[in-house]
Amino acid sequence: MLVISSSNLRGRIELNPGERVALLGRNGSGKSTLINSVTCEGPFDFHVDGREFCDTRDYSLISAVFQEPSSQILARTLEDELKIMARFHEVDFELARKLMGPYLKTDFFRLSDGYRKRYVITSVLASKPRYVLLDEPFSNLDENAIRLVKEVIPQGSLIAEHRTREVRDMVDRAYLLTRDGILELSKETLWDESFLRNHGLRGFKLKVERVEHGNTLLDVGVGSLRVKVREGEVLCLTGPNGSGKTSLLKKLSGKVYVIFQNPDLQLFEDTVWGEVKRDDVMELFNLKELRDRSPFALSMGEKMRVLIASAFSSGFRVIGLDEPTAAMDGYGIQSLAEMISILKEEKRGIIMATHDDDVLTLCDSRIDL
Amino acid sequence: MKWKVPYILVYSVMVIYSSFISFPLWSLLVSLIPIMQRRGIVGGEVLAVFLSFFMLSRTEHLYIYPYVVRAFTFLNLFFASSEHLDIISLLDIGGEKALPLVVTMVYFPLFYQIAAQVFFYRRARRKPFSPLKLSRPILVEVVKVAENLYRAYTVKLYGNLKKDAKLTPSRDDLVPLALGVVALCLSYLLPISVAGLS
Repeated sequence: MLVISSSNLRGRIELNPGERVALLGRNGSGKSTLINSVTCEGPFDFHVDGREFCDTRDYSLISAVFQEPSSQILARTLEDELKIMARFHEVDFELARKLMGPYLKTDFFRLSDGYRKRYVITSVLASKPRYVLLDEPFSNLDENAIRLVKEVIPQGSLIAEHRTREVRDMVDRAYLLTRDGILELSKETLWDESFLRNHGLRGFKLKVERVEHGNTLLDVGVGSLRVKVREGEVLCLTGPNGSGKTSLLKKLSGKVYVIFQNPDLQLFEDTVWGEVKRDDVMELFNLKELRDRSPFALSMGEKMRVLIASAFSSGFRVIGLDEPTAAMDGYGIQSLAEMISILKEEKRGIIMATHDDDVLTLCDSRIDL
Repeated sequence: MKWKVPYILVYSVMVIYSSFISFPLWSLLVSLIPIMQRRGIVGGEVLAVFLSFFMLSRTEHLYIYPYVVRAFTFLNLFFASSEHLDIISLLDIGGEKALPLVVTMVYFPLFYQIAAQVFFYRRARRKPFSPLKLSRPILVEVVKVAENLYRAYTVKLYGNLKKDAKLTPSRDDLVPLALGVVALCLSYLLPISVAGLS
């Protein structure tokens, strides 16, 4: 049995080789810190069959798949990556062939999002560890990609997620990680919307206030599509990964202030004030307390708030959001809904590219790609 | 098709040497063979070679032309190496010290993508060009990548490295050897002499 605990927290996580266990928690609760502690440099301790893991650091017992696939690969193809790993320890190439199929020799940067996640999971599974820790394996994946990833998650896995809907059908047990401790949950709790909402988890429906739409702010043809947005309207571009949502938003930038997927690549100033530049907007978006903080040091939800506030400051009448919920927990989504309400009340138009079912209730109109 | 490091080096040395034996046309043609699939590059180079000839002959600087052709040959050797290098063979030769180099080569497309995205976002936001401001998001991302990569190294590369330095060429490795020999033979046996050029 794998036991994970921390001297700073009450409770512990137990994982047997024959089961899959979910580790739920809002952003900032410590899920990633827990998984990153597998390198023996964090606040969590790992015991395997009663023995302290960090005494031997035997990664044939425990391995981990971290959040971002593109920064944990060691080679351009899975085959090459396994050849590198095989120089250090035994690796099962047959298993990798079975899991990756025809994509074993495909360049990582040409794979779809689902197969990139599958690549990194397979590279870990090929070493046949007894236990696998997965950090948000379904983050930013559409339905098809989630199915591709679920197929390869083995028994003996601890799955850290805030996307409760994706994990609740595939796990045997679940834990909730909070600042106070680790709490074991009953499976029924994972369907309790008010529990999910109160603990910052996802899987509940958003309540939406509809406002009257005003004048047309944007009416353009892009290829065969007509994109029309009115004051107070949320137009959603929906479709799976790779359907062209981001490409469409890129074509509209210039007419639309677009906030793309990775917030860290869109922050250029050394303070929040430097990004937003207006006191009234800081007040409107509840950013006054963060005025002198570095935007890079904020949480994901706070960064999105800064970006939306700077979009508002820019004066653009239409604001684009590209998969804004990609790394958001339940609180983040509620906060996003509040910010969209503010934009609507201020008679801005919004174009939101998303495949996330949790936020489709925000859409007033849709273009399916 | 992947070539081990020693055979890429031998191929490169043979082609470079053949480019100095006579006018380097044979070495240029041989160096184009491994990169024929990159039609854009090959097409562009052929055009550039012809254009250079006409421009240099018009300006009566034709004595520079062999150097131009040689420069394209060296460029082709670089493209062939990046296309066909078997990076695992770097590990076999350099051991653990070569591992950072092997992994760094993997991340060129990612870092290029990061830089391209940051420049695009700056333009889309209509922000003035400022190296300091552009460097902030790039540096933050580079640090994040480095931290993640360190963790991936730790969990995936446990155990002791076993070098497997096979010096005998595989079937793929015979290709650069053959090409190098062809370049040398053609340059020696059918030397091209263009009036006034060598």
